[in-house]
Amino acid sequence: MRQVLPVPADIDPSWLINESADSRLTVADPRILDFIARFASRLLTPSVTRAHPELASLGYFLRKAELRRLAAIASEGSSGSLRMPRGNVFHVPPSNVDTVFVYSWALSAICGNTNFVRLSARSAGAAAVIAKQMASAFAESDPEVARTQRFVSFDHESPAFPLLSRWCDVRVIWGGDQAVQSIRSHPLSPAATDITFPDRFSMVAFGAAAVAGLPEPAMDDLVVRFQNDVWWFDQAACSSPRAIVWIGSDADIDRARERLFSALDQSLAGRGMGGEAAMAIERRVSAYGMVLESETATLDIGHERVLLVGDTEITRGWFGSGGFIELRFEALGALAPHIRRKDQTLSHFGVSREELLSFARRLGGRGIDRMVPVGEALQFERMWDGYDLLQMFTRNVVVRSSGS
Amino acid sequence: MAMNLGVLDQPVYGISQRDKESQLGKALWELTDHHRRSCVPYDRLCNRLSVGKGGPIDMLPWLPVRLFKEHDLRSIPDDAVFRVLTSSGTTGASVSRIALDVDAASMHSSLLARTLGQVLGPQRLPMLVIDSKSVTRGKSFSARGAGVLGMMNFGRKYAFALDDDLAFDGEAVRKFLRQFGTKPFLIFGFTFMAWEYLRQAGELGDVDLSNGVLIHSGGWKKMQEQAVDATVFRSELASRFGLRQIYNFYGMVEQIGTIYLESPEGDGSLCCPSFADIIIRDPVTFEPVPDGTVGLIQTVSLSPRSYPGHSLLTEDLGVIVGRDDNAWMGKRFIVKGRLPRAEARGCSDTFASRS
Repeated sequence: MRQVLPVPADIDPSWLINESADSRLTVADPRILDFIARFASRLLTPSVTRAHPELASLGYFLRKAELRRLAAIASEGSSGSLRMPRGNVFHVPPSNVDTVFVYSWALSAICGNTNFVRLSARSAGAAAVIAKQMASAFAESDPEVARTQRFVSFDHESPAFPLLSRWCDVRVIWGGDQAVQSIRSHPLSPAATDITFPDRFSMVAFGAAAVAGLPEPAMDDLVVRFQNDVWWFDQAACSSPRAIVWIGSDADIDRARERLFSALDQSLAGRGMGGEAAMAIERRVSAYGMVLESETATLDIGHERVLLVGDTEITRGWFGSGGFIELRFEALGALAPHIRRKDQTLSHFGVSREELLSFARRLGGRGIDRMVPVGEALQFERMWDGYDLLQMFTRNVVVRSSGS
Repeated sequence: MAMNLGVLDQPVYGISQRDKESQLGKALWELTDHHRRSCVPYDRLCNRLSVGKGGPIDMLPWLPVRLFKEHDLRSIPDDAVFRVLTSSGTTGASVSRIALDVDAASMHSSLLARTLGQVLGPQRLPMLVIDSKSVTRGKSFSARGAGVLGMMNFGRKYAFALDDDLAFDGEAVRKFLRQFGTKPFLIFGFTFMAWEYLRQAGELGDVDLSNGVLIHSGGWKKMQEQAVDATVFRSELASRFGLRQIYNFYGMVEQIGTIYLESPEGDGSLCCPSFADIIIRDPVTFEPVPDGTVGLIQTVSLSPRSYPGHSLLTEDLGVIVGRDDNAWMGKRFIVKGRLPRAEARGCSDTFASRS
């Protein structure tokens, strides 16, 4: 096993587990909060955020004020109980969304746990920057932080997998459905539990009348927010919208899509980046492939995007960055029968709070774990995939004295 | 369908680009119509793309070649399928499956024969295969096996330079050269194997390949790792073995029957036969680019009749380096490598192994 952080070294996993034992961290431990704050402020330096804008949102998520807020929520017991760390947490993040591991690790660290995070061996781009900034933050922090927070890498044949699985109290698995199953073949200790983040699919709902009637500057703003939701992470994060759902009358939808897509095409062309060739071909392969398979699908090809106008069947795939399925419904409620457990985030614009609430009640948790405004699809939060992670990473210890 | 023999009967490298474009263009649009009539999903796609009925060659609808890995497209009824070819799967499980009927198969051989005849002459030559006989056995061949088998149609008196365990068989090579080495003979192999094993043949002592014609294909990727390009390849084989007739070719199983053979002038450029052509497209906008600009290679050919593969956008990068300016007429181009495959940076591949 290779330790990547706090300091790079080839280390025997059992020895390292032993080294990290007997943590004295508490929930909202000031040493951890200080460490995370140092790390976050390093991410927010202009040179870093210019090169990797996605690290800005990570830094923002971990900024001091937000840390204090999360720490307060994590420490807050209900009457008659105390919040304590869960213990040992083993994180298996995805190898290719560079920033995801930081979110689940940070929430668990705030809760005072000892964390082992398995990193992808090939860390490049944003992940390499994260590693560098984190290494510096480690060097400036209390040694108890470095002792209890370990970032390691090993392949899936490694004995570290069963070892850490037996060691942990909570195992966090991100991954495709197959990956989750494969990792689950390593038994946990009887009292331990898995939190899994398997493959998800996400979509965006646009209220057609609202979009159609949007004044120019607001339209530009909407386009920028939508664009970020889509093109960061090449539209492949679980919460990146890959289906566009129009809500409204056909006439409104026709007007709204005309306006939105022409503004979008213009904005994308204006980025002057010319797009990515591999994605361009990927979009055509997906789109043409779907037309070959479906008698009803039609195509709408724009700048750096391909729309597959389907019927009500939602094909849950990844179509290359800029590839979408497009659907129409008269009201949001009509989408409900098409929602599956796999569906995670519904980002929305021009849909009222009442409609969203009644949609959520109608779904009754059978799918869609988040409904957030367009522009916030990728913003990680402590409530994820239906879990409250601050709850999951702590235990509640009941203390009741006689007479109380 | 009735073949447009007008175009297919043209000299392989004898028509100017301008004459070619009008004749080939017309025939390709007719072929498009044939596929639209015979392959319903293809017709649907053409409709969705608002494809017209005619125009310049670069207006022809194209399919990304990778579609043949995911979709079984045919313009012949199932009971007419005579053979199914599969491509090599460089990215793992998925391979293209190309269905041929008897007519298509025989037409491919005849087109290949006419193209290769330009450098091999009308007679079948004794043939040294730089591979193992074992790759040609089995029911469904690998692309390598199919390539070897296809080429064997143009030789006779075969010898294989590798034994069944893929070890170099010096004795077989020595015997072949003793018997046939004093008159023209054919050598065929994949580029990296020809390089690897012909040099091993050098260890047999004085090896004279000056009567040989080497036909090779497969790309330079593995060779680049050893810093071997077309120039090094040629000069090394010429100086060590007197082997000077060397022809690389570019082709793919998805457009079987069509190969783009290296120009006889030895500059490494590839030439388009009269029944096929290439168009270079911008990799993002897919618009055609001017000569001299690198882009994605689209290959159009009259050879695919049994499946709608007559106009394919490859993921290979190439550049047109000349037109009608060589012993062979038409466009000349160079392959510049491959477009990297798009990777989904999803939250879903903790375990995905990448090849």
